[in-house]
Amino acid sequence: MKKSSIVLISIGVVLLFLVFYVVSVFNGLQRGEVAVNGAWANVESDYQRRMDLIPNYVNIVKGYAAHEKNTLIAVTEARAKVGQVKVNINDAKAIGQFQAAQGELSSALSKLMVVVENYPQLKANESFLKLQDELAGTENRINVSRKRFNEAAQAFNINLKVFPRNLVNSMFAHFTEKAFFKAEDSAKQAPQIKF
Amino acid sequence: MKTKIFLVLVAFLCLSSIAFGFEIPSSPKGYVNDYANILNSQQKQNLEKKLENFERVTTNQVAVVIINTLDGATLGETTLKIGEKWKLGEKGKDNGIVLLIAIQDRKLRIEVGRGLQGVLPDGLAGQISRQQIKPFFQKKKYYEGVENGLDKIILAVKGEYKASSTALLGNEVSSEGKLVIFCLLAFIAAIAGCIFWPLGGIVGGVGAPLVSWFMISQDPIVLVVSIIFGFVIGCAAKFIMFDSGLFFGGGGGDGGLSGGGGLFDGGGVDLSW
Repeated sequence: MKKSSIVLISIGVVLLFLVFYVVSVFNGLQRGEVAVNGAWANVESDYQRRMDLIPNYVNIVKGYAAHEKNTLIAVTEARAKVGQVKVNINDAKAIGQFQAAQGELSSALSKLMVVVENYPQLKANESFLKLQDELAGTENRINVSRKRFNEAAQAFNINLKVFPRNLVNSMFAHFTEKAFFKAEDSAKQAPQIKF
Repeated sequence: MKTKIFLVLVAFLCLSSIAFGFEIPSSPKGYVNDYANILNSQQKQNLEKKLENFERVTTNQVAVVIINTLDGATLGETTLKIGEKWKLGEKGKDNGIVLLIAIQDRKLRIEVGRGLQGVLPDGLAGQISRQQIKPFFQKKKYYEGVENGLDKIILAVKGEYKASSTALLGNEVSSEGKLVIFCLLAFIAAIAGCIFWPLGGIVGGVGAPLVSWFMISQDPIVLVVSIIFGFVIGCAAKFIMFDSGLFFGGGGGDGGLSGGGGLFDGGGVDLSW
């Protein structure tokens, strides 16, 4: 065999390996992106679930505690504001806005839940208690799905940034880093209940 | 000096126990896991039987976990970890439920796997803990509270999944299970054959058609074939298994729960009593 053909075969083999490597990196990132999107869908549906529960909750409270007008209005307004925010998980700023709006709603809601404690009649109403449980369960679901989204997004980002995958990505794939939720300062503080 | 080191050590231990909360064992003891020793063995057995029956009929897995204290961890974190670690519920159905009770903290939580949230929504879970469990717990009647709560959970969740009809007759027999039963049959035939070789043939000739009747098909052709094969193999079983040194060991099933489910999303309700 000629020397030149050995060289050519070696180059071919190396190129083949490179192609395989690029394809596997691309597929890995693609799979990661699907996982992130799935986790995000859960976050959105949990937040949506809360949005759907709020009107009923507000209505039932209104029936017993109509003069807590300000607290009730604050919740309704915060809910309306959330509806206006458009989210895009590739945009850290948009996620920040989304988080801020949802945080505002959370704090308005927790204020209402504190106020409600003063109405024994309301607390004896079984359908109110059920709704309250649903809301509390939903808050918990939101926390869990957010945590899982963050984990998926961070795993994806690490995959994206590690050498030499970052080179492959910038040359062939062009995936972008995922934004994720930051720990909240205001929402993390539980409302203080004083007796 | 020594006492100082000792104190630091004690402080460190205290801190670490706060940080880690309740240590969840890697696998459950059964359906009822009473780490606080609140229930006596009779009570435990009753609950265990109830939940076992329930799983056999519906495939839903309900685990009861009783601990002394959460050590500062939240109920939700702990139940989520339990559900995921023990893989409660069946794969694809995610029909597991955790009832966690922290005696000293006077707190309980019903954590519902994703597949059962439709029939046991948070509102209902809250109602069960408030109305069916709390009144008993306030009187320190823990067993009654748990039993009553489980009854109501079972009532709510009963209709969601049904076990397949073979499972209703007994345990569901997988293809590996069938193989194990046939091996067992061959083993019994071989032992009978050791005593007197035609006896092995009789065991095989009777056993094989019985097994195939119940597990494979009631077709008369299958029956005739299995009688002939059962007799021949039964006669030869002793020679095949013992004389050639081939020996079947019994395969142990992994007991307890672990259905491969475990998709929990934090749905469920906390309650203090």
